[in-house]
Amino acid sequence: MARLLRAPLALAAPAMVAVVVSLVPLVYLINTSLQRGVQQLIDEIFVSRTATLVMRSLALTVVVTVACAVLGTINAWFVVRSSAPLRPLWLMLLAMPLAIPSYLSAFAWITWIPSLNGYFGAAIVLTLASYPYVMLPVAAMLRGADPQLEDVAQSLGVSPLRSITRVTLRQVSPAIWAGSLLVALYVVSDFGAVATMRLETFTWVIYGAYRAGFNPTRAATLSLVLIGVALLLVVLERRVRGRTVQRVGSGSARHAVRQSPLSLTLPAMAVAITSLGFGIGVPVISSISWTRSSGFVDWAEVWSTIAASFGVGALTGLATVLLALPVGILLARFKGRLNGFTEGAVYVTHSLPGIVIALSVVYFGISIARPFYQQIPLLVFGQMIIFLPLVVGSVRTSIEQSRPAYEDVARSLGISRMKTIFRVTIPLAIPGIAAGGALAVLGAVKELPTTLILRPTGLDTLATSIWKYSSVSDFGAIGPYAVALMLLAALPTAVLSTVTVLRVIK
Amino acid sequence: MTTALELTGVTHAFDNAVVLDDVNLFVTEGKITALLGPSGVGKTTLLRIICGFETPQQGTVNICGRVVAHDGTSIVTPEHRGVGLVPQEGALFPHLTVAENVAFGLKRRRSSQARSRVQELLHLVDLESCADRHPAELSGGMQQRVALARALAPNPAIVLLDEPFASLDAALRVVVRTEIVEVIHRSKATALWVTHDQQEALSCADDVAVLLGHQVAQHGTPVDLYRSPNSRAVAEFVGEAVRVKGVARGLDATSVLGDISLVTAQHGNVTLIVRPEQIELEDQPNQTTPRGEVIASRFYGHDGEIDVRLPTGDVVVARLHARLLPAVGSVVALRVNGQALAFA
Repeated sequence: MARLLRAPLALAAPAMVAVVVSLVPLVYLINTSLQRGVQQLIDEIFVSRTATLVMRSLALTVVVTVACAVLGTINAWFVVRSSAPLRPLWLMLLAMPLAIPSYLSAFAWITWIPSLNGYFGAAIVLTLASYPYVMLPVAAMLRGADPQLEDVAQSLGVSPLRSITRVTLRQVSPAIWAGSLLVALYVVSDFGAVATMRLETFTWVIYGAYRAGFNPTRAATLSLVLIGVALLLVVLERRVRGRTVQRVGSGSARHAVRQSPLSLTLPAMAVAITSLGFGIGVPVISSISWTRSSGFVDWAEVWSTIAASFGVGALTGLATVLLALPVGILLARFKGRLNGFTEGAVYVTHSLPGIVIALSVVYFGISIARPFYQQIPLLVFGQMIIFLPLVVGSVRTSIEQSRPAYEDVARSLGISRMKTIFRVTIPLAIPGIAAGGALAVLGAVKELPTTLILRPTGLDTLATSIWKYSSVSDFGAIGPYAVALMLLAALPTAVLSTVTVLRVIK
Repeated sequence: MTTALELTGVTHAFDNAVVLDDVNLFVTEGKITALLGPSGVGKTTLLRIICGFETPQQGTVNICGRVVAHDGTSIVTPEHRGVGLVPQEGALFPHLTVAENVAFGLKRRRSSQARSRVQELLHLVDLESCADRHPAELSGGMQQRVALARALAPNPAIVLLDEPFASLDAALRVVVRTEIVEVIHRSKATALWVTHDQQEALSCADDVAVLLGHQVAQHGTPVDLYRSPNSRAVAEFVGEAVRVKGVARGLDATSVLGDISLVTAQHGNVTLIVRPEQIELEDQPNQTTPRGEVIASRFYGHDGEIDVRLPTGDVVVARLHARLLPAVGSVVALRVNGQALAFA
């Protein structure tokens, strides 16, 4: 039913502040790109090297996306529908590449096979890093899809493999599409893998133009083109996600415990083992072997780097959760005029690659927040903008999952709207809020380009240390940082994938 | 007798689809009034209007002599209306214990008065031993009792129950609703009970308002509604109805079921309505006794029903004691016991 309540000011005001604050740096990005006039901007966009750049980025995106759609779907089927043992454990392991930053696995691959440098290396690394974006939604949808349809197909004389392609894949195709578009968004935004592989795509070229320093207009202009591509992907993703296949007919939902034939399970298991071996095995084994080969390790430096990473991560997590709460509550519970704007703004921010946000914050800092430029507050601010949409999504989903009847009851018992939010809405959403916070901490610890650009001089996090030593191929030094980062990132990932696992496979 | 709640001319539409059209309703203090209607007739909207979550576009809502909403303006916010809500499935706060749930709407809920009020209510619903449990550890029926205790705790002017037993299975439902009715009576509370289950409405409420076609079609005691419905729609909605054509002359009518006396006088062609339990087997038939063939028989245990096809093609349903059920295919003679309703 339409809930026409308008939000109390005490909620709407902070939500608006959050949205506006996260959009302000964009204004400075646009301003910088227009510094030399509109004609200059148009010329810059239509020079031939921009076209080459677009083609190269597009080629990488298409190949990785298709590969992830295939790999993610097979792995999803394997963990939900195959007859393999220990499927929850498989799902948890298969989600683990999310914990490994792309620059780390890229560096592991080129130290193992140096000739992979370039397009193929970047494609392999990005595929292995981002197939979980397809696997998780497809697994969730497979779980909800009616397994009896496959039984019916087979009883009508269709082979097991054909019944999967003719029935099952049709059922989950919205999830495959939505996941694939997320992968595409991830690929165009990725900085670490392409930078390590020295592949000139958007993000790497933008970073180069920024570091060269003579021409801020070019970096800003290319950022605008990248925003355009990313926005397109986000719009497509939203349109696709709306289409879900409903189970026809009522009756109790029967959950799939099917004996899939070995002729299907075994090949799928081979795919899963390959994904794990290359996706987790290569970076983990490399990191361990680097650690062993390192002669002298400056442990004091390692520990202070871990502390810095965690400190910045915790600050970002806290700031992002505080900012995301009013936005999430507003979007989930108060359908008013402000919502369209808020939702749109959140989605725009969601599409912005880290490097673009970092550059916007730089221009913003130089123009009006000079005292904070290259200081912790501005670094946390930049990372907060990156992770705000993620945390808003997590908060919003968990609030939408609890029934509005709880709030209605509280109101009828004499509790005001704001008090109801603190006494009912927020306590019920605690798991989602905590998960969102964990996502932000994990992201901040892994985040490379924003940290590189916005950190105070002399501050090293795990991400920047790995970057620093990998660019001079100092394997010995990189080891402890790589192991520490993976251990640190594995923790929230394990928690998050356990939550997903519990939701997907019970 | 004072009126705890009064709605006058309440009209409400969503996107031009009329949900409530000039609804007039009152609830007498100390009574349980059922709001009975099929799904989609606007019962839940009416409830939300009383609570204050929707504002009626026209009409007045009056709680205990205080106008709380009038013609598109909400005058009193939900938290100040003194209306206790028991939603579907109870909606107990899952993050709070049973005692904390009951204390939720009390002022200074850690004070000793609040604590003794919680004790009193848990005693009332017979759940004192569950005070420290969480809602997830309770059965569906227990959850409903806690939800009622929580709604009663701040002494509301009226308690609203929104299809409170829809989620319980049939066997449990009867037990739980008997308990709930008892608790409401014992606490001398006023209640408006929304339901689509006519058996529930007839057996639990002191008064029943039938909501049909977005309006209150009739308001009366359960016995009145069943015995003398004021329209064919109410007659067919409240209780099962057997319909046959007939010709009325005052308080008598002739029909395929023979001569029948009527509750109210009518003339000309009418539709006669009788209840299945009024149709009985005639053990001393004569030549004019209506006869028909049994085409279906349903055995329920304590009683049963047969479908009888009359020579005219009309099919009527009769409810009989289980041991009287004739075999399918046999020909039976029928008589109508008591008076029929007639509608033009």
